[in-house]
Amino acid sequence: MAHNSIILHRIFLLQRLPKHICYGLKTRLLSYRNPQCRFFSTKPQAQCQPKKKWCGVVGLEIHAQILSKSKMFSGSATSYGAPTNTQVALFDAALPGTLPVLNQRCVEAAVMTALALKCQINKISTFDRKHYFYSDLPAGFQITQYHKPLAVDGKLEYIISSASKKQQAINKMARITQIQLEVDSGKSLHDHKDHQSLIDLNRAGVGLMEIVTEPDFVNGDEAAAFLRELQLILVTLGTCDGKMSEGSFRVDANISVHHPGEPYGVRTEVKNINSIRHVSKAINFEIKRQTEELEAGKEIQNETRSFDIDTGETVLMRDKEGFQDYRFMPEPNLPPIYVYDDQSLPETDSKVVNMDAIQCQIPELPNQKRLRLQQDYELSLDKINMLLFEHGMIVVFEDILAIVSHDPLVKPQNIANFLMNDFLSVLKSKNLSIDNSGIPTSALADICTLTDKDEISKGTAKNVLIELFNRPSQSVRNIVESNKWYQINDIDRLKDLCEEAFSQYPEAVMKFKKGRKRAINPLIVHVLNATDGCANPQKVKDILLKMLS
Amino acid sequence: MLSLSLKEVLTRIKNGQLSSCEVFEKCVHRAKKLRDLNFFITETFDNGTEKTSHKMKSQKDGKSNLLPGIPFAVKDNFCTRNIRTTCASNMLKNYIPPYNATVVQRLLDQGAQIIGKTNMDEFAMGSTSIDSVFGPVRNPWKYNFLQTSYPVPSECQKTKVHQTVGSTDDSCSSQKSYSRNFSTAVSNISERLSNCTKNDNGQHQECSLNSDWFISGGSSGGSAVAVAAGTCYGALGSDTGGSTRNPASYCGVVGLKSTYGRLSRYGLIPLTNSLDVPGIFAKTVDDAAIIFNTLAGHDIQDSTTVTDPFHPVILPDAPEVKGLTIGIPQNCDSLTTKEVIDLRLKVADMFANAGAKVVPVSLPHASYSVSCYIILCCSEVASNMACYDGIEFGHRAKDTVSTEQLFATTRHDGFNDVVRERILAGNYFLLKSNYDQYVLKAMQVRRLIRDDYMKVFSSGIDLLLTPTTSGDAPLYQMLTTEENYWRTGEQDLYTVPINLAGIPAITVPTALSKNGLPIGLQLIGQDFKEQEMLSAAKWLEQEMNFPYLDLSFLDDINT
Repeated sequence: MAHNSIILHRIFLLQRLPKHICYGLKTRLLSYRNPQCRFFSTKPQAQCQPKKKWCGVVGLEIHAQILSKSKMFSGSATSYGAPTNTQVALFDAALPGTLPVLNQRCVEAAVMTALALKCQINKISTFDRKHYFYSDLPAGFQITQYHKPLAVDGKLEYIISSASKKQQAINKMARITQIQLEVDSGKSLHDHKDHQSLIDLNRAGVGLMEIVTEPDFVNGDEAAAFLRELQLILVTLGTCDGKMSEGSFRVDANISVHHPGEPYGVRTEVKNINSIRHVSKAINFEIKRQTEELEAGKEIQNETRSFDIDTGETVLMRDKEGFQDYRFMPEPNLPPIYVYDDQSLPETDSKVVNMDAIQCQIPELPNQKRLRLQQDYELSLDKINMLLFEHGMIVVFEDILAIVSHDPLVKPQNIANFLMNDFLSVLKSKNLSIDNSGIPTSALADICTLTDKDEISKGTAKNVLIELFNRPSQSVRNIVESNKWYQINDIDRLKDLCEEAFSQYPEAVMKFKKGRKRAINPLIVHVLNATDGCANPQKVKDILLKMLS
Repeated sequence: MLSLSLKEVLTRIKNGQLSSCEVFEKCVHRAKKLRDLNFFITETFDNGTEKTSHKMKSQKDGKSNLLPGIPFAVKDNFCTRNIRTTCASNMLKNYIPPYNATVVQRLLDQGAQIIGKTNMDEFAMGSTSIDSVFGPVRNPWKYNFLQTSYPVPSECQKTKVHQTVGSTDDSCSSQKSYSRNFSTAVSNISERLSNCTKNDNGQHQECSLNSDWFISGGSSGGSAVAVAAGTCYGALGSDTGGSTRNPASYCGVVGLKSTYGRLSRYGLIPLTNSLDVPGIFAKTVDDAAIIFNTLAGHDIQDSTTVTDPFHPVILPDAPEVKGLTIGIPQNCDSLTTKEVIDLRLKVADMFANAGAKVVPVSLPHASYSVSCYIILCCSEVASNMACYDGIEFGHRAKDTVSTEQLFATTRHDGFNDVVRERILAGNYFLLKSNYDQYVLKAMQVRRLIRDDYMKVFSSGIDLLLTPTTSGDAPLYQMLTTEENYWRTGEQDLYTVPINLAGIPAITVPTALSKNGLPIGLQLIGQDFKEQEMLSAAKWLEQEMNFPYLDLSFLDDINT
């Protein structure tokens, strides 16, 4: 009896262990008790219960710096890259006796963000102090929202772009747990040689929105797609500039793995990842690492890791003295934040935050824009996303559309292609961004108009653009005229050139007639070269095909 | 001149009978004679006179200053630009703030002059003003000035105090001016001095009086003494659990704690943010009202100040209490001396005789005040003190082994035992596992305590009358034993619940104890109804005809 009970006890315990460990051991125990069962106990397992796959569980915490002229609780400026310690109000240095004064802009920006993320706004939210000692945290605590954050229960729909043209883009949704206001810390520069730390408090007190998601991602690609969409929304709203390189959009990822349907595993946190690409890599690496650890029978430690860009791996961060009790307490110097709506708006005070008024100020969000562009211009989703995710491109695109709107010949699809192919490649080759390209949108519109009216070829369009970059003051038509870049659409002239090509490339003609369709290309290239790229390629092709048939 | 009230001095300056310079110089002269009392940490005697004349010029240019050149003392936990602000601590011993606290600025804006920064308990933690790195503050009442500074004959020991609790009966005259009170109230010390001056045999001998002295109360003891001793016409203190009212009561001056949110805390180095209120020390209730009017009103720098427009307090010359309902809370602790209890009974009768309705009231949760206060205070202290890490300002230890070690040594050097104990306790209360049990509960109890007062006031009570302290000032030696030292915490019993409730209160010097020491009584008002409270306080002041301390004999002595 005693023996039996021990065995049963073991089985009971084992059933609570992860399945892949259970099965093997359970089998052995059963076979030990009843050797006849051996055959039955192993085979059904292999057939009906294949070894389950580990699945990643990822939640994100995003610290988005609020785009505001002054800090959240003081009047000092927030510009990036100012000389060290030149943007430090008395409060930012936590001089004794100073008090926080809430910047209304920060609340409004966070409310707008929360509304865009379909959050429920808490009509009353409060600030708390989170305590820890660090040299770039002058007060010894961070003002944050712990007990009652500004907004909760939101969601964000995002798209995972298709990896290839055959696949469809996938729509996904992630839940937003909460959005809270808090302040940034200063920066420490550690000089290990001289054993000193230098503190820059310019960033101390800059307003942050901490956006916390539910663990709704299974891998780095989903997280990255979500982050791109979130970044796009924030930039569209103007509540954050989204610049990861300047630290105004920072991501921490909480990662664990489990078998679907079972409780989540122990998670690790990867902090301070400085690009979305790296977030994706870090998450995927971490899922792989955890899976391998667990497969090897090891346990996952609840720990903080960082991402090493060079190796593409996550590494354990120096342990900050183990467990931290932040000793949260309500911030006594700040009254609660009240957010009103049109119904509850007090009559006397006009300086309150009204969520209904803010709702009206929300510009067209990316998802709405996608729908509109799809419907109005029949653009593909992928094309729209390319425009959207290239910072500033969608604005240029829509500005061009507005200029050429009266002209039915100019096709949005072609504008998009021109921008994403020619414009972008020239920008990149010249190491310029859209904001500082120096090219007027009207000139881009002119190029698109000339192209779609067959006045210049698509190849010429790019040359015009390059010329334009060299001398932005020139008009597009001037460039085309002075270079004699008008497209040759004259059939007779093209025919002559085609015949010339025929006689020069007899082998290509033979090959084509034998069925090699691609053999026509050298013939087209010949005509184009002969005309300095000005021949209308479509017409050349048509003539050649006619002659070949 | 130093016996005059602020109101009287302002009138004389306006009439041209006095000049601002003269007033400031007299105050400085007096203060120099009283250095023994150790009530100033930093004296600002020098810049005062020069600036006074400058201010006077600007006044002639057409600017009307309400407080032209008037010397004020400021507790050393209010930030003063270019004047060091120490909180009586090693941590801030050499700290010079780059800005003025709002209440300081508002005084200066009206032409007032800071004569000195006053001594206190370190970081305002205490109710004795003996826990200062600059040494203890001494109460001028019954202080043997002659012992250390002046050679006097031995007869001086025999002199007795004339005014006691019982003696106030026959001096109830409602229209007496403050300065006349002064002239009738003769301190035993001045008598000694007259004996001293009569003795011209040249045989001076060292006075053999007991070397002990009475404490000033605290934590704003220095400010209370500065006003009581006539070195200024008003002083700023802070009041977190009674730190203004307690020393005001012990030193025989008016101490006003206004409604939370009425006076700006910007620039007041915090003890407990949710309880702290700048306190006002004044010679008379009228003076307190003048200062209060100067300081009050919304401050954009302090989000916890109320935005409603402030209506200045205007006190009638002869206030009445007829028709008022005065509540007498029933709970008294066992420590309260009989003479304090008797005094309150007597004053309650006076209110009744003057036509007020006096009714007993119950504040069932008041007895939890001190426990509640300890938790809230320590928790906020732990948090507020976290900024003293030696990085941005204040003391920095030379220990550079590691940043953590730098923090630890800096904080160990910078804080005394009381401060460190409160930080430790506060951090304990704030631990995640303790928060609900201690801090949350304390906040709930605090709400119950406030509700008690709200119920009482909504039942038709206008004001409450309580003792300010349970007795008169103890002797310094009494506190040197540890047991007695900790008992000083219980002196907060009558004052702490007021801070928890956020309501205004004022202590008015009412009588002298049998020891010849002042006893104040506390009037407690309703939220933002300082006008009503001060009015009744002025009536009480006029009725009691308290014998103010007169140290003018000191001014003529050459040291």
